Amino acid sequence: MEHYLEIKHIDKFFGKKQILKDVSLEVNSGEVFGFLGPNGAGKSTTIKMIVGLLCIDRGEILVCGENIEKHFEKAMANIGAIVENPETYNGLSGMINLQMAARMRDGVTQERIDEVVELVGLTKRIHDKVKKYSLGMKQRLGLAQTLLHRPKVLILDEPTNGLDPAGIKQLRDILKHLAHEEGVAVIVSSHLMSEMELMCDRVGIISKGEILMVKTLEELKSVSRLNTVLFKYRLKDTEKAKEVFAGFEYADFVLCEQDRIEIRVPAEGMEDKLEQLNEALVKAGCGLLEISIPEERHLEDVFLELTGEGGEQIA
Amino acid sequence: MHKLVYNELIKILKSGKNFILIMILLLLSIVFSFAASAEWESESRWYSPGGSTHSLYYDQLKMELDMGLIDPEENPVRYARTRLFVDVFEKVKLQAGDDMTRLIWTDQVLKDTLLSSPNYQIAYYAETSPYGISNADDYRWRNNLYEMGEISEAPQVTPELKAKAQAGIEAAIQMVKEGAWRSYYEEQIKKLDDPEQIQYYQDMLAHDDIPNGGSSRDFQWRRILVEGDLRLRELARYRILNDIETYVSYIPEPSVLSLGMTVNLTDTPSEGVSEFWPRLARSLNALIVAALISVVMAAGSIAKEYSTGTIKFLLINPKKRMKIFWSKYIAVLFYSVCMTALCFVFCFLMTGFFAGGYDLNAVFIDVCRGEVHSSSPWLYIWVSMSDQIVSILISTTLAFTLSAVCRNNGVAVGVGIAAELVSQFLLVLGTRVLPVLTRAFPYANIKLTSIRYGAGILPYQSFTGALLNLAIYVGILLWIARDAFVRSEV
Ligand SMILES: Nc1ncnc2c1ncn2[C@@H]1O[C@H](COP(=O)(O)OP(=O)(O)OP(=O)(O)O)[C@@H](O)[C@H]1O
Ligand SMILES: [Mg+2]
Repeated sequence: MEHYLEIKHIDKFFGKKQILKDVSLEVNSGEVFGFLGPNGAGKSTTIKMIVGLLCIDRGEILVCGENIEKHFEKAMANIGAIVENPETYNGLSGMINLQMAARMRDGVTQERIDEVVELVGLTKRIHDKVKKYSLGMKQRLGLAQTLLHRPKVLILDEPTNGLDPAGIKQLRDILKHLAHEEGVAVIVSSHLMSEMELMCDRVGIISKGEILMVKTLEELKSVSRLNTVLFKYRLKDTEKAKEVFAGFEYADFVLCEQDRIEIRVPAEGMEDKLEQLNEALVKAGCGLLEISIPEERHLEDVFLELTGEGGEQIA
Repeated sequence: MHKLVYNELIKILKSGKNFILIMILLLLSIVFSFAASAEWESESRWYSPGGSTHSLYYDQLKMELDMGLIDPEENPVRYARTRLFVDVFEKVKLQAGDDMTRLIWTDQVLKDTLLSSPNYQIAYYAETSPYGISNADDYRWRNNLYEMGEISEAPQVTPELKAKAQAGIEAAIQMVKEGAWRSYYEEQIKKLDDPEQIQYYQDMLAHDDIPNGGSSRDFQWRRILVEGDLRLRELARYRILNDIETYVSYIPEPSVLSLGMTVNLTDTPSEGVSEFWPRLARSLNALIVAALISVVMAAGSIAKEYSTGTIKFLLINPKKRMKIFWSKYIAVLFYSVCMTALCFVFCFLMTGFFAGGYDLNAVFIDVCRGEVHSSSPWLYIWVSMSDQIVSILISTTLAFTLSAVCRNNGVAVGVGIAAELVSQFLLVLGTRVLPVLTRAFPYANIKLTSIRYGAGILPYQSFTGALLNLAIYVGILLWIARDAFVRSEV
């Protein structure tokens, strides 16, 4: 698999404040990469550095093997990007906007423009002024702009913002198609975890300017932070059960209330340990009513787990 | 690169603002053209710094002569003047055919016609002043002319008188060059007979009151020296035939002195004078509107991209920022040129409308440095426009730079317009207070045409110097703007 985008140990300072700390990432041809992080984590900053809007204080970024700073024009020819919001000239029609974008690139024909307009579903309104577009329509136009020159690396900063459910699905299909069929490296940043879950092959989580982890979605779902699995018990006698669990070092209390107990068990040798635990519970006569099987972990849980449970102040 | 410029032009031309601005331009062009055609017409005939157009309808005058409408016995002055013009134009026609606008014709021919004609005895003298006489002081010129007009007994200019006067002038000029103000004052005292004035100079001498290089009095004494020299006036008179006197005025600014002006001071038939071209020249004051519009667009050029966020779209294209920067500047300049041209066209059409016709066959005759020139009136208009165009260039570049540096439309528009409007005022102030520093001020150098003819607003201004000054300013401004644009983090 080919690295279309390589970010190598970049740092970024705004004044004295360090916004990015040694960020490294690779995005491969043919995958949709989700770039996740809470507000102010540094997602947009990273993206701006990739597209050369911000200078790189330390480290380097390669796009299809070209250094973004040394060979700006060559590297940028492979990138299509929307940074933060789709920026278009509001006084001009969608079509003129696209034609202007096409003039900036080599080899984008009018046919290609029409094709892309069709793809993003704007054919009927393309000759209207952008002023009159809704937010979702602007997003679509922005997407069209980035697709014109068939970029190898497609970077979208919160692209689902403002799209209706059908639009989101359409976007998802487009992005998946581009990545899986045409081998584009797609990078999507978002806060919408459920969205990302459906869209991405791999995600990277960034918080306070540091990459916390990069994993495929499967890896994420099966493994948790401490390599433990959560089990939920419903019991008649929780007091007695507590004593029983206390006898097992590996059983880690999470919650205990009325008739419920939640514990964590190491994933390693989980089945044996569970057997021992349950046996002990039954023996002690705790009145075991129900054990819930570990739920499939959602991206959101992992995200919150890693970046703090939310409600914090912005860093 | 041309594609980038094309994009920038689309942004400018298709913006809603553009339409409104062009409408304003149209409206104000009409107002200016109308104003130029209004009442003060006859009076303002003299009131054009750098020259006055008096192009004549040859056909009209010729007809008057041929049909004997002017009786030489009864009205010898008018007859002689008309004759003079017809002779000149006859010559012009010989060379240029019927279409006088495409005149290719040597000055020498006309000069010879005029000067060798037995009918006219023309002594003409206009000395070039190297000292930069205030250009804005038309009032004085006018007065001079009228004064001279009143002198009825003009002496015959003899070669001896001419030579003596010439020597006197040269001596005076030498004094100024050497800064020999003492000799000058002494000379004045010898020559004057007004006791008050004599006292004034004596006081100056007694107090060692040196006019220093920066003071306005310094400016003054140079001017008095050149302008007030009575001998120049004596020389400036000349006769046509025995009893007809008209004058070639001595005007310190050598650039353009119209022959028509010298000859038809009072009673040339007014139908003989082109109304159209002088009016057009005045209508073109509307160019200030084109300048302001250019400033507004230049100010928005970069700042607007930032305020709407489209700068991100612009900069993530595979084009070096330098290229984007230059494409913007070129587009802005192109727009300025278009607005100037548009303004000219509007004014041209409206002036013709108000003047009741387009006098396209007119010929512009002027006397420059003692030589008679005939040229296309287009050239005359071009000369009066060119200074405005330079000024537009400077203001536009200034607004563009501010747009790149402050990324704020309001600041760039404000300062750009202020520069265009207030610069003249500052300039006048500067020439009084700090003429040396004022020379470095770009707006002191924009009147390239006047400067070329030695009539800049400050002493010792040279054409190359002024050009260099402007080039340096534009260079520095663009360098700053480019730097700010290329380095900016978005
Ligand atoms: N121009 C700037 N000057 C100073 N600090 C900045 C600037 N731009 C961003 N920052 C800071 O950098 C940090 C990261 O910002 P960034 O926009 O990258 O966050 P983000 O991950 O995109 O957040 P969001 O989800 O809200 O879009 C924030 O703390 C922000 O305050
Ligand atoms: Mg962001």
